[in-house]
Amino acid sequence: MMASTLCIIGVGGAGSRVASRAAPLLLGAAHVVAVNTDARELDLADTPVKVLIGATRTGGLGAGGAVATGRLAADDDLTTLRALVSEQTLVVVTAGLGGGTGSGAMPAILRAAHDAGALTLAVVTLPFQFEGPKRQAAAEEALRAVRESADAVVVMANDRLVEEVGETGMKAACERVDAVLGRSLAALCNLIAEPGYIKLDFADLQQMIRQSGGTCAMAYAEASGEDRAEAAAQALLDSTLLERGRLVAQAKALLVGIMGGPDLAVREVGVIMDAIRSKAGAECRTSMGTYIGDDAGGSVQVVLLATETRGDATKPVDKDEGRTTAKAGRRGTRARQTELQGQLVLQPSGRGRFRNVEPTIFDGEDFDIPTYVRRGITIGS
Amino acid sequence: MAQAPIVGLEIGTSKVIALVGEMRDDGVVMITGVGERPSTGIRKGEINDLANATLCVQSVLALAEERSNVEVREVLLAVSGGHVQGLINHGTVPVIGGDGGIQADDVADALEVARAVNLPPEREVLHTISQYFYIDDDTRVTNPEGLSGAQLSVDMLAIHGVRNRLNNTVRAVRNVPVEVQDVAFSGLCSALSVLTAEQKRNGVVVIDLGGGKTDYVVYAEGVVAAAGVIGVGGDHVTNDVALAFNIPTAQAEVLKRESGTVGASAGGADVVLAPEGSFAGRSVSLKDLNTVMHARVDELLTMIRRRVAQEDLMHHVGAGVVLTGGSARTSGIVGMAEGLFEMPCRVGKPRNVDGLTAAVNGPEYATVSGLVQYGFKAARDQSPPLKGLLGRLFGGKPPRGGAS
Repeated sequence: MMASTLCIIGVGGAGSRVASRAAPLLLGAAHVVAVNTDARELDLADTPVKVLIGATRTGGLGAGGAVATGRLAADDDLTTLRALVSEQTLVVVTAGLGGGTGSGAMPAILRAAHDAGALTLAVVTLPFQFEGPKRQAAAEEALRAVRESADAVVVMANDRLVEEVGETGMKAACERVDAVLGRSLAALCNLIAEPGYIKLDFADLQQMIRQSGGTCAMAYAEASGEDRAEAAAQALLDSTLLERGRLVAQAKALLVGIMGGPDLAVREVGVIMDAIRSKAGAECRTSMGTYIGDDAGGSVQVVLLATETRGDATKPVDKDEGRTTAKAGRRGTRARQTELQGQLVLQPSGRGRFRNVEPTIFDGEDFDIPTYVRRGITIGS
Repeated sequence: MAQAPIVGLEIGTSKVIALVGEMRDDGVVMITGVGERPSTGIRKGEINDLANATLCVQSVLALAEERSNVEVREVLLAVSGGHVQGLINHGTVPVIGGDGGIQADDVADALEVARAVNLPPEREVLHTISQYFYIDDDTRVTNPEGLSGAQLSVDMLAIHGVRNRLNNTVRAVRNVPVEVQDVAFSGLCSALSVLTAEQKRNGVVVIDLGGGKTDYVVYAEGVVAAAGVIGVGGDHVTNDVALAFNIPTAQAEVLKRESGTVGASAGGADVVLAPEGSFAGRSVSLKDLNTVMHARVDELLTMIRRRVAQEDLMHHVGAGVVLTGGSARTSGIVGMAEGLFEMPCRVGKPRNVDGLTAAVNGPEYATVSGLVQYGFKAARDQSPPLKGLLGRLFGGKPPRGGAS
C-alpha cells in the first residue's frame, strides 16, 4: 500500500515564511518546500528544500510585484515543480496573495499537484488594507485562479490576523502573524495527514469547507501537567477568540483534532469532546480525530474549526480577556495554555457552469453549489 | 377592423421563444406562428453575452415571421431574474370628501401615493398591483367608494428589479433591431396563462420552473398578493448532476430528462452513458441520480413554501399549487410539491388560446402565451400607452379587475 505523504509548499516571500514556521511543528514526515523568484528571500527561508524559479527570467531578483512574471516563472520551471509534487497524497500550498510570485505561481503549482493526482489545499493571506486597492484587486484576481485549481481553499485577511495577535510594532506584528499562520497550518496538516486511531481526513475538511460556504473560526490550544485535558478544553471554550464559546454554540459544523503523546488517556479525549459538545448546538455536525505522537512533551494539543454563517462577522479579539483562561490552571499545577487563532474564510469550489456568473446567495449559502454537497449527502456509496 | 397581431417574446435560459397571436372575430386568441431556438448567451434568466443573445433573438423572430407571415416590428417582452422582487407598499391619504364619504378622487389619490414606492435608485418598478383598502386603519374593504372615514389607506404590491439588468434584456431585442412595446414579469404572464378565475379567487401558488430561475406568484382572494424570483432553475439540477457524476453538461442534461426523477426512486439498475467525443462514458446509479436531483428540487420548493408562509398566505391558498415552466416536466415533482405544501398540486399548461399545436402546448410555453393574452387584454381595455397598465391587468381592484 502506498504510504500517504504530505508536502507543504510556501510560495513567494510570505508563503516561504509561513512554511518555515510550520516545518518544525509538523509531527510526521513531510516535504516542506519554499518556492520563490527572489534568491535573497529564498536564502532566508528555513525549509529543507528551496526552489528558485524563473532565474533566467528575473536573474533571481524577484517578480517585482508582477503577477505575469510570477506565472511565467512557474511555467519556466514547471518540470522542477512537477517533480516536487509527484507521488504526494496531499499538497498544501500557502502564499500571500497580491504580490507577483505568490499570485502568479500558486495556481500553476496547484494545477501541477492536481494533475499528479494529489489532493490540494490552498491557504492564502490577503494583503493589508494599507497596501492599496491595486494590490487588493490583484489578490482577488489571484484568489479566483486559486479557487479554480485547489480542492479546498482557506483565506485569511492580514488585517484580521494582526488585530488578533494584538501587536502594534510592525516587525513584531508581522512575525507574530507568521507564527500564528505557521502553527495553525502545522496543526491542520498534522491532523489530516497523520494516521490516528480515530482518523480525521481530508474529506472531513473538504466537507466542512463546502458546508460552511463562508467564514470559519479556528482556535488552537495546548496544555500540560495535571488536568491538562480540562485546561485545554477550558482554554478553547473560554477563549474570546471563539467569543467565549459563542461561535461554537452557533456553528453548523465543528472539526476537532486532539493530539498528544502515548500517555494521552481515553478519559482525556472524552473530557475534551464532552466540553465542546456541551457548548455546541443540537444540530451541529461534529467530526473528530486524534493523533498520538511518539513524544508530545507531556502536553495535549487541541485544534478546533467552527463554521460561521457568512456575514456573521466576529468582533476583534480583546487581548486581556483572552488571558482569563489562567483560571484553568488552578490548584497550582504546571498547567499552561497557549492559544492561537486565525480568522479563516473558507471558499468552496465546485460552482461548475455558474463559475463566472453572479452567485445566488440566500441565508449565507451559495445556491449555485450543488445542494447534495451543501447538505453533506454522500454520492456513490 | 381586426386588431393587429401581437408578438410575445421570452428570452429564457434554455430557450428563446416568440409567439405571434391574432385576435379572432369570436374573441379568442389564435396563435399563428411560433419561433424557438435553444438559447445562447443567457444564464439564470439574464443576458451574459449580449452579441450572442441578440443573434439568437434575431433568428427566433425571423422564424416566427416566416411561420406567421407577419412582419415583426415590435414585441412584448417577458423579463425575470434573481433580482426581481415583490414588495408591499402602504399608501395613506386623508379623506377630504366631507359628508359624502370616500369619493373616487380619494381612491385615486391613495392609489397614487401607494404606487410611489421608495426604491434604491438602481431599481425600477415593473408592476404595481393594489391589494386591500383600509379605512381609518382598521376596516378592510375591497371597494371603499361611498363609505365614511377620515383616512384611506391601500396596500400596493410593487414588483421591481434592477434597471440595468432589465435593460440588458430589452437591449438584446433593440439590437435586432425590433422595438419593445412593453415588458412584463414572466411569473405574472405564466399565471395569466395557466390559471382559471376560480383558482385565483380561491387562492393559488403558481411556480414557474424555468431553466435558470424560478418565478412564483401567489393569488389570494383574486389578487396577486406576493411574487418573486429565485435564481435557481433546471440548469442547477443539470449542473448538480454533472458535478456529482463528473460528466459533461450535455450528458447530464440528457440523463436528467430521460432517467431522472425526484419522486420515490425505482432504484435498481444503472444507466449506462455511451462514450461521445472526449467523454469516455460511464454508468450512473439511478438511486444516486435520484438523491442528487431530489436534494436540489426539495430545497427550491421548500424555499418557496417558506416565502409564502412568511407572507402569512398559506391559509389563503385554497386551490393549491400549480407548477409550470419547462422544469415542471421533471418526473415526480407533482407528488413532491403536494407533500411539501400539503395541498393539491398539478402541472399548468397554457389555456384560452387556440392554434397551439400539441408540440407547443407544454408548460414551457406558459409565459409566452400568457404574454400574448396580456397584450390583447391591454389593447381591448383601450388604454393607448401600454406602459403602466399591468397593475390593472393582473388583479387590480378585485370588483373591477376580476376579469383577468
